[in-house]
Amino acid sequence: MKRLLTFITCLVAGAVMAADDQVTGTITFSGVLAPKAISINFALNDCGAGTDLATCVSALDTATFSSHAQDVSLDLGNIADGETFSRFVQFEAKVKMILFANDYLQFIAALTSSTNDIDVSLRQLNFVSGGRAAFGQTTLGAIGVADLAENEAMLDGTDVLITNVSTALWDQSTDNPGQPNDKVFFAVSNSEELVVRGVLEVEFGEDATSSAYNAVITAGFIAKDN
Amino acid sequence: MFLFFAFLFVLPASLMAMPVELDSFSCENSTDRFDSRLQIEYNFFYQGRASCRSDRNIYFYNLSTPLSVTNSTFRIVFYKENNGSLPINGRLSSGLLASFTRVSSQRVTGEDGRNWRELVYEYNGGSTVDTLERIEWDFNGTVRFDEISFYIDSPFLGQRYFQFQSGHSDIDYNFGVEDFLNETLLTKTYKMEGRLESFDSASNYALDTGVNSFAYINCESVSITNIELALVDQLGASYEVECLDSSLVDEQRGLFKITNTGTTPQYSVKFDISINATGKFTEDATSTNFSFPLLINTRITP
Repeated sequence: MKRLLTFITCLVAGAVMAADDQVTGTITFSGVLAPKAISINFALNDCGAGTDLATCVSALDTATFSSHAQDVSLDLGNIADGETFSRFVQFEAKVKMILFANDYLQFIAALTSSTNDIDVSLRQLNFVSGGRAAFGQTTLGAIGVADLAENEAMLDGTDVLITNVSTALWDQSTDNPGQPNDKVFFAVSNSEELVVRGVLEVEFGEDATSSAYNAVITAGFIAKDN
Repeated sequence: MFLFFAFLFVLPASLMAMPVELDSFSCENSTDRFDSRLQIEYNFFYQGRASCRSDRNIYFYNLSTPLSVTNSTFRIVFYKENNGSLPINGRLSSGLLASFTRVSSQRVTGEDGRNWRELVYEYNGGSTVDTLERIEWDFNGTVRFDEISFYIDSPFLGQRYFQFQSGHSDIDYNFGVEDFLNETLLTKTYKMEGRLESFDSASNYALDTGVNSFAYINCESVSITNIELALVDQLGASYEVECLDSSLVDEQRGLFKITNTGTTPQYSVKFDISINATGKFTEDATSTNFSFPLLINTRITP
């Protein structure tokens, strides 16, 4: 019993111990991070009969778009009354999406159906805004090296015909900026969504008849792994 | 206070561990034995007036709370009439048996005038990660013994520590992009154990591995859903948990902090800590499958 008392005395003396520091276990964290487009909404403006491309493009930055919807249509009136055989239409796309670092974006479209002899082509595409200011990047491409800032042109002075085969009209890896993203482009809420504006040309061909025409374009944005 | 801590830092680890008496029984009456099936036999005694007597049963000494065996020595000191080795085994939480071996046997004369042996049995857990739940005595016949004491010599006892319970040290999280977007709450129970002195805090961090570790977990809310305390520690026990900020500081991210707001427990305490966490990714995240371990680093501060 005397020995026992000695033990207890030692315990009291040793009761205050130094702070401890140890590794005691693991958390395994797994899953998938994949680029993701969540929603897309379009709005359209008619630049009007007799308006040329340059005028329609220069008005893009200041244009007001309303009634965004996933499916929109625009009545262009009677082209035969116009001064030229083409009409220019402004559009705005708002896309909710996540692009991860090293991913890139594509704008794809196809002429799904048309009546009469009508060609539709993309003449201008501008990056307007997008991304979360406090997280990742608010531009597209390599930050500060080759990136698209506000209202910069993604496609400028080109004429990309929209065919009945769905193709990339603009591709981040080859068209401006020609670089994948440096950081996450986090555009998932209303104030942060990707906003893109552009101009479409509707043109009648040599075989056009003087009857009603109609063109349906299916378009979308694809966030792609690099 | 500061000087005292500085002094303790230079103590070798071996000096810091102190044997602690878990229990002792004098075999004097029916409340003074570790198994109620043991007989109290008067006239045979090393000390006092009586001793304990066994028959062919297996007798159990149940620890009030399971104790970690890692680098710990469990010691049984008792007096036995006559010599002879006894099969004494520890039962671990995993179900395995741990064999106690006799480390000393000395002849002594009891107060009853008979020859007794002072016996010391020990079991050292070494690197085994497990806890000892009870000690099983298989006397296989009549044995008289007296003045029995159980000790533990553990780096954990008497020292602050906080760690996962044996067999519960891996937590798996699985997230997809939808979970990040919707900030899906994943609830996991962390089964922890430790001994925190009064007003000690154990802050738990996830060490960032650095390689493609662009996703992490963010503690949104945390609660203690269960506490297992030794009987003697139940009065005045009080613990609080809170989430820690998950920003990356010194290559680690905060998970949660537990604070002992009550009395200092004598034995280790087991906790079920329920953590609601969301997944987050960093600005550099690339689109890929990811799977990586986050090591838990525990820092205890008085």
